Amino acid sequence: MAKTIMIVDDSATMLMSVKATLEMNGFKVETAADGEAALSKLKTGFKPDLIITDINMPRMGGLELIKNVKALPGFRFVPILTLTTESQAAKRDEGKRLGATGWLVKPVSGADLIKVIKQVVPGA
Amino acid sequence: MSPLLEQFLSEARDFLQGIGEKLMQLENAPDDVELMTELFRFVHTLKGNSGLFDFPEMTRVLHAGEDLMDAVRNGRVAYSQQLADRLLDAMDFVGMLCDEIEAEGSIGAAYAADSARLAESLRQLMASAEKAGAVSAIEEAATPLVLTAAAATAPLLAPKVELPLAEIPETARMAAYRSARAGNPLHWLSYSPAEECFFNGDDPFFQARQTPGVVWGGIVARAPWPPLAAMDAYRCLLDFRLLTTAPRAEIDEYYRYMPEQIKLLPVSPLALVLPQGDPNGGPVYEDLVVDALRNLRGGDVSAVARAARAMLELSNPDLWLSSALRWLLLLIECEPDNHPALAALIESLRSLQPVDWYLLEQSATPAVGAGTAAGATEAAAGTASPLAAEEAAALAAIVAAQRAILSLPLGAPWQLGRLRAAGAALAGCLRASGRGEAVHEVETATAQSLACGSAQPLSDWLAHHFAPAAESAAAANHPSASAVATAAARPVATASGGANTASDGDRESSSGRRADDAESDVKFGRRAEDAAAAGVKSVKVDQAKIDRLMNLIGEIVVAKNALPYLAGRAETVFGVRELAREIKAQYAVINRIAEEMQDGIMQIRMMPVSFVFQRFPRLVRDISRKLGKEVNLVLEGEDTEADKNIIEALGDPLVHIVRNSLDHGFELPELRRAAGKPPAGTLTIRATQESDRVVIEIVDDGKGIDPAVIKRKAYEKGLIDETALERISDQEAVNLVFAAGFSTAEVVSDLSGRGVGMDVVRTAIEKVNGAISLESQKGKGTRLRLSLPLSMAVTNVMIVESDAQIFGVPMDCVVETVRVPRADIRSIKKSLTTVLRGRIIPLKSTNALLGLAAPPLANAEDELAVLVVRLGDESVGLLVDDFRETVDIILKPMAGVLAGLPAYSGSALMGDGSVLMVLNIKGLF
Repeated sequence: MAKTIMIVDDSATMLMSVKATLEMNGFKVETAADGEAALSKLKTGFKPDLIITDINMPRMGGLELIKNVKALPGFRFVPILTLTTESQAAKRDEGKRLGATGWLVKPVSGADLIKVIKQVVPGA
Repeated sequence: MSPLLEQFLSEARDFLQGIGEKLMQLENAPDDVELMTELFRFVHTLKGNSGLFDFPEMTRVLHAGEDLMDAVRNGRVAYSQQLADRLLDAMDFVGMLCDEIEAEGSIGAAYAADSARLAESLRQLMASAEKAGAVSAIEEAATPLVLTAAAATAPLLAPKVELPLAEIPETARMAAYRSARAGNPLHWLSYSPAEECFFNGDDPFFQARQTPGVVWGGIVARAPWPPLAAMDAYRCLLDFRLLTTAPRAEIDEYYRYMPEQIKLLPVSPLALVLPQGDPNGGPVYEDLVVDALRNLRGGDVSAVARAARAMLELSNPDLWLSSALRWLLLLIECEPDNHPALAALIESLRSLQPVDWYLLEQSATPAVGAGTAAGATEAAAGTASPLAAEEAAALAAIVAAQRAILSLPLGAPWQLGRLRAAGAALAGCLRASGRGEAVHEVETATAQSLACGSAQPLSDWLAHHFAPAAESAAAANHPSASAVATAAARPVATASGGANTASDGDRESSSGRRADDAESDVKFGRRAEDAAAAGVKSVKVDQAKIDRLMNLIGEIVVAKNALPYLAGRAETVFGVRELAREIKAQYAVINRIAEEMQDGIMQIRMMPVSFVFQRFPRLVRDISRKLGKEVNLVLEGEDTEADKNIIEALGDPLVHIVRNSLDHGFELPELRRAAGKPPAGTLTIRATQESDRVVIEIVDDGKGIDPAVIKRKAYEKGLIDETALERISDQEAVNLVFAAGFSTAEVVSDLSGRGVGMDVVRTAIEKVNGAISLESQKGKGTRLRLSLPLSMAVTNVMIVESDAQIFGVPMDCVVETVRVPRADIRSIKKSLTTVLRGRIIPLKSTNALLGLAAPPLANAEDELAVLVVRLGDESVGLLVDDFRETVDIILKPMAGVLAGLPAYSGSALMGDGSVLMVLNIKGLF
């Protein structure tokens, strides 16, 4: 069965680009424009196999989203990747501490993205 | 263009807009952390997006902007006016790149230099601010950026830079020299790859080898090699040096991904003429030198060549002299007419010293690049040599202007910025005149001045140090300079030259003031609601889709209007009254839905005027700064909505009006002060809704319009005759600015005077059924009032009958409908008139106006139907046969050949399928 991936990014361009890459590789894709939108989607019972999130977003940023997702019942083992231009190690470590599975740096090539996804999503 | 790229461009423009707005808001609240964070996020996201594509020029600038905003956000760099300016510049550049991408699909290599320059200017800001105060300058310092030579205004004569040209073997230099003399540009290129370039997959060696037009290349270690154990083989510690004959553009294109890593310097071909070799041994060349110089003076260059060739055969080729002779032959071959160069080279045979080509060229071209040359030699020699006459004069003028500024009384505390500006200007003068060692004295004096709040210490310093030297020298060199200097030196600058310089200084000081006074009273009228408006969720829809909906709803309205006719037919023709009633009931339902739908679609097309207003804060800020005026912009009623077409039609006229007002309306701050007004003017742009119209008022408190000036101008331009000149009222005179071909500006400035006047504004407004009026009070200000319909989609028309045809007349023209007995119609000088409530109304027959032969019909009481319409400021009666109802129609403009008929403004489909021609009242007469 096709795996579902949720992408959270405030930039429509970025969403479009990542979505196209993932769909080309046979994933089902859900998008959200910020942490708040993503969280409310997850609360409706939607459960993706992987969440890829930006860090710097309006309303709710990526780090806060990770914290909130990890607190949701049933989401403890859903892998979360951060995809961001934020190269500061501090932010990456903060993400890891909060429970992010890994991080990617924008712009990420399609092949790299898929490679990492295969590592973190069982059965992808 | 791929959808992704389209998406990127559209989003990028939104971000740029947002960045501009946020910067404006920051101007009023420089400490607002939330704003800064948001600003950072915009730049950050935009940069991230640009990384998806291959636009290194764009990414580079955005990256620098992001780093800068990050520093601002973290408090490492303070927000300043200058910062905002540079960031706005950079964003304008990015916007331009977006346009370029949209038009061309890619970014031309020509932008690489600009991009590097802008990025550099942003980083400089960061570096200087961080050096001043803070801790972590390390991160930025790790990637030093080198200004490319293009950024410095490339002088015709290359500044004297000690290039290690001697390292280049003679043959390579000779080849390069030949190539340069054949017309190719000659450049010294030093390429310093980033240390971690291997990790980016770069191959610097290959990159350097493939450089276009390479004549010679060399590799040097960037720093002394560390001990082997400490060396990291994965870091690139090499610099590449190349001599190339490719055009600059080609090199820029080739290095477009790393413009900050290369340094490109133009090389004068003669600089390559460096004889090398063993200075000892060989015959004495005294005779040769004397002979050659004589031959050269006699113009016999070939004799010199013969002698040199003969000498060369006798000499050991390793000798310095042989090398010089080879060069001499080459020079004779390539530029036999350059006698000074030849002579210098021959002389060097005697002295065994290489020729200083730089000095030679400089003396050969004294006028060109004298400034740079003088500056460079001075810097090298460390002595103050006399400046060129023009320079000295300019210097004296600047110093005099500073003196004038310092002698002005200091009023408000913010005027201390003036002192700072004067201090900075003087320091600059010192540097330019080679007296850099005195700069710190100026700085001390400036600091003292600022500390005690008086210009005294600084003007004392000025009197002590500058006066005798620079100005007297200038006076001696340049008679006119002394005149300027004395005029400007008077305490109150009354002479015209002095007034200009003083106002320049004041402008400078006002920008200085903004920087040092956070509580600046300059506001750009941004309101809190804007932040909320930015957060509204919206869907972007192609306008064509909405237009299609609009057309469809128009057709539904027409189609549903056929139902009452159908009901009528069912009853009268087929005699089924029940069915007729049902059709009518159904019609009522469809009618209601259609109306709601129409309303809904109109709502989609409605836009807030803020769409047009949002560009004004920036526009007003930029223009007023450029003109040296201080203007506060107040925007009101930005959420007033109107149809998209109306809003769009409003844009250009409004910009024009605002520019006009800034350019001609507002006075300079001094003039305002003199007139007893606050130095900063206020420009109010206010939008309100009045019943079904949007009213936009543009009010300024500037100098207003002088009716006398307008009258004179209009008379000179032949717009009015002498009798009119006497007769017209002031208000009428002011309205003359709307007349075609009228422009009051004495001098066409590049701001408002673009060859169009207010008549263009009026035409544009009238095109969308708007009206414009102007009130002005001399000395008090001007008020322009635009009134526009809310929507253009539905027109309310009255249907009239004439010669058995029906015509529509737009209701906004209709004044009233009356029946006039034939007896009350009089004929005055062949035209018909009647008196209506004490006013004489001229009458026109619609049939006659439309070229129809039939006379107007009267009713049973022998009364004629008169439709009184508004024509400009007057009322005119149209004789028609009969009046009918008023209807809402969707007016379609005439297409094709018919568009040329001025009598009709368009046509509309009626419910029964017939076509209604709508009259254009203005076009009828």
